[in-house]
Amino acid sequence: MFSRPLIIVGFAFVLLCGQRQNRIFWDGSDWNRIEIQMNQQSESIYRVKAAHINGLLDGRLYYYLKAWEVEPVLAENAYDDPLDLLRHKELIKALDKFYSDPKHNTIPVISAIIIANMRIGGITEPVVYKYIEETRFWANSMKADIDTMSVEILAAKLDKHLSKPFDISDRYGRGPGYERKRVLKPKYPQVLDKDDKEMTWYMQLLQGWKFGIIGGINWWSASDSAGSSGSVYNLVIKTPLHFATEKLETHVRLETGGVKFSTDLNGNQTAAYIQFGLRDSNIPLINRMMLDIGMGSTLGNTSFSSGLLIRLRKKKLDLITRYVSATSTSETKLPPNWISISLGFNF
Amino acid sequence: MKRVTLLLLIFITYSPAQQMDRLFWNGSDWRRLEKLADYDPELTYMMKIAYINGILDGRLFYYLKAWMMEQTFADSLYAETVDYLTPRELVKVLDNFYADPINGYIPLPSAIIISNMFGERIPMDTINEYIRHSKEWINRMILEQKQ
Repeated sequence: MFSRPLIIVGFAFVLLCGQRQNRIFWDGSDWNRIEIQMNQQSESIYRVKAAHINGLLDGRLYYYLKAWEVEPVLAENAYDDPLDLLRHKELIKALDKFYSDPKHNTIPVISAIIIANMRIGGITEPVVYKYIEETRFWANSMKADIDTMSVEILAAKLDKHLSKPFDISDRYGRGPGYERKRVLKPKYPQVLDKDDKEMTWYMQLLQGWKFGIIGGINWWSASDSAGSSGSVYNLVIKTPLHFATEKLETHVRLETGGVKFSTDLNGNQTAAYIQFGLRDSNIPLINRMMLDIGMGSTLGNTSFSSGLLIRLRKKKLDLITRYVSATSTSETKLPPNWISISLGFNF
Repeated sequence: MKRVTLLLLIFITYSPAQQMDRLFWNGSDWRRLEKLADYDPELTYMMKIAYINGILDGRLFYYLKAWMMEQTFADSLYAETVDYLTPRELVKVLDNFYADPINGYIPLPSAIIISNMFGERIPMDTINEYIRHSKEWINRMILEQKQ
């Protein structure tokens, strides 16, 4: 008699539990839930909300100060949101009003604070609306990502903790590469100093070197005006001569490998390249575009090149187009110039 | 009448002077929560949890923002473990930590990192060194703010 309702209730309970979404930040639903948890006592509600706002602002200020000590320009850019134009009481009122609209429930509280400050700071409503929509989009997509990635995250966390050495102080359990990172103050000065001393002699030599591989085709006009093509493959060595300002970036890299124009015309190719261009690109899919100028040796002949590098796929793939000119002797019979189109992979 | 006015003036002058320059919530704010909550343990706990969640949310939000701008830098800046303890455990460890008045002026964001270091069982020498460093850092920050 009772078994069917019991099953239905159980099923509904399971469904409700399953409906719980992964939340990364406190959002409108948490904000509104405070009232229920505090039994509608306005003083308590105010205190809890004020504590959360204080936490958000302290968290932001703490890391802003830490970032500012090392990279003031980056800190100014990353932490430039207006957050302090309203007093706590005003802010809580503004957030209450904002979250009274259920469609704002998924907006994180910290974003809602930025929105409230934008409004009071005189930012136009279309801009604020755009910010809300963008926030809603990334907050929702992050939730969706967490849903799909949660197993991977759990596995990674487990792996991280299992891989801890017995003496956890060695690396603080933060995985390989932790020592290599630049550590900010206040931090773990003892270990940092010790490691610095131990690693100085080879870190100075190794730091900044990176490697990659590249392969592609060469195309040139033969003497009978017909197009001919050959292949090229190189090992890429990126030197530590890497200069970057806020806008501009320059690399110096070496490429060495083989080139094949025909079955009887092949051999070694080595060249040094200087690449320079603007930093991160705004064009979709393209991470960076750089001009590329090089000089080297192709089959023992001096060669010069100029071209364009397009960096794709989280800076892992390079698409390079070069126009190469070479001095040629009657023995080598190199084409005087050719176009090289290559695809490279950065490790 | 004159005496009352004088006393009032002294009181007005003295009260703001007592206010310390604080950049962040610290041990005194943490301990004061209990009083603010009228010694209601549930409200005290809720306020503490709300504050901790606020810090962690603020940290995560700006970590993601900094990460979009400069990944290596963001990873180095936010390298500390802050999620080893659950919020409930964190509240307990922070209560213990701030029970020692000598830790009173350590900022709460630093105390959260320290609490997680306790949780991770990092050697006491290292934790003490970090505490000393945090004290120096916050003193320097306050002095710079005053200047």
